[in-house]
Amino acid sequence: MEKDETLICRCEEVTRAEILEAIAAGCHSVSAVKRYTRAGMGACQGRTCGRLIRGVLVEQGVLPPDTMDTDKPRFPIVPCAVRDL
Amino acid sequence: MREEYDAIVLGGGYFGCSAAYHLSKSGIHTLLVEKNEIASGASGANFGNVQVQDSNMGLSLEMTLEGFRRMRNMEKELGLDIGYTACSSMIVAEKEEHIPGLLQLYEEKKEAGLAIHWLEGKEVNEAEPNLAKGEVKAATCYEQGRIYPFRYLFALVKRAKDLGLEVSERTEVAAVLVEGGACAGIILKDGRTIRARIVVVAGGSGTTEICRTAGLKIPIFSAKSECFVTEPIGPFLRHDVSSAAFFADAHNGKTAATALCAEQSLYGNILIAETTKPYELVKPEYSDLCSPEQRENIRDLILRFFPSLAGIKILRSWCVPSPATPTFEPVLGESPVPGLIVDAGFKSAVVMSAVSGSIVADLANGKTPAFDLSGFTSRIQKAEA
Repeated sequence: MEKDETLICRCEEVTRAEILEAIAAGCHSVSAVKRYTRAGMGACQGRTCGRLIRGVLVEQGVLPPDTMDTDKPRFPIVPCAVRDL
Repeated sequence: MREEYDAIVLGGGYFGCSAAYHLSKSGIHTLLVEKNEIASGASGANFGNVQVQDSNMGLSLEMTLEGFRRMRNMEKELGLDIGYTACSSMIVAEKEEHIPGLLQLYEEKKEAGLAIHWLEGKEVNEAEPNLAKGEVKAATCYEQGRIYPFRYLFALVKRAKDLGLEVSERTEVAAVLVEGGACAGIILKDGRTIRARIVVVAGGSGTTEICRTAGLKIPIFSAKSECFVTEPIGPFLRHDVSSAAFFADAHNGKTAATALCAEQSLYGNILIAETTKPYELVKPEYSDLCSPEQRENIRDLILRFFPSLAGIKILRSWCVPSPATPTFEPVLGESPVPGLIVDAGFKSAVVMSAVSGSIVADLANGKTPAFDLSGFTSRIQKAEA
């Protein structure tokens, strides 16, 4: 988790360096980091990376350690074919 | 956040961020106030289309053409990648009854000198091969552009911050402060007062409510707008495709509606819109949740127009309050309250963003803007006592 090139969001291939850049640009929540970097917009919808992004925000002193900040879950929760909507 | 600025901009979407950038560039010390976060409203939900061909005529088209020129140069101006790509727009008539309106759009734009094309029958499918055969009666095409919304919005904020902008997110405004009939700043919901001689209301669908606190009546209404995005796929759509009835149907302000709009993003995802419902008809507990009725409407729309997407997976949906005006023309200019500038209610946002920012900066600096805004300013009225 400490290397800049570590992939935080594997679906959208977003590195830790990019998360740090978003935080420096003023993104102070998991949702804001998502908008800036696309981390959490891929197939897993942030299930894997959401916790890691929150960890970086805590480590950088932007969020308190006991935060429950998450991106808002959105329909359809799990990927779903157009015909099954 | 200080207690006083030269100007305060309300709203962290296309118009607020652009106004903040242009004001900062002109040397005005500016505070940008956003009730949620930058790009968290309708601008962040937008597809980034630099829409030209569906502009209203007159002042709207004049500003659209200047706005298109600005957007083509915006990456160079900002020195940042905003994902600008040339992209062709296709407006489709899905019913015979849409053809006269689309033909009028085509003829007006052709007469105004735009290189717009008219397609019928199999020409439509040659241009957009994945469109179901026979579903579209006629279409117009125009080569325009597209940006990636989040990159553009964050780029405007970054450059504005370089020029001295301050940003306050998660900050709710209770009222515009009016003293002696003139704008004097804002009062926040937590009770604090921030003073400024200029306040720019670029609050999208929230603009009407904010302006009401200054005794102004603005004809901007708000609809709940729902969109969907698929997993990324290979090249599928050649155009940004939208229905000729898109604005008339989806933003009529009276009924729930579903109108076709489909684009393939920079990253390969298919963006699908749009279903809308006036907020008066939405139960409060469903105000930001995807609705079952609209979900079925979107499914049926896609299966009808792009049946080969049937097995492609939807990753996510979103709902935002989307602003519109009865004539699809914006409210832009100085209000009867000196110092209070309104900058909202645009039909197609991205194409108007940079040009409106320049206009706001001109107004704030006491300069005469390059456009006669009287048609857009006359919509700002004093509320009856």
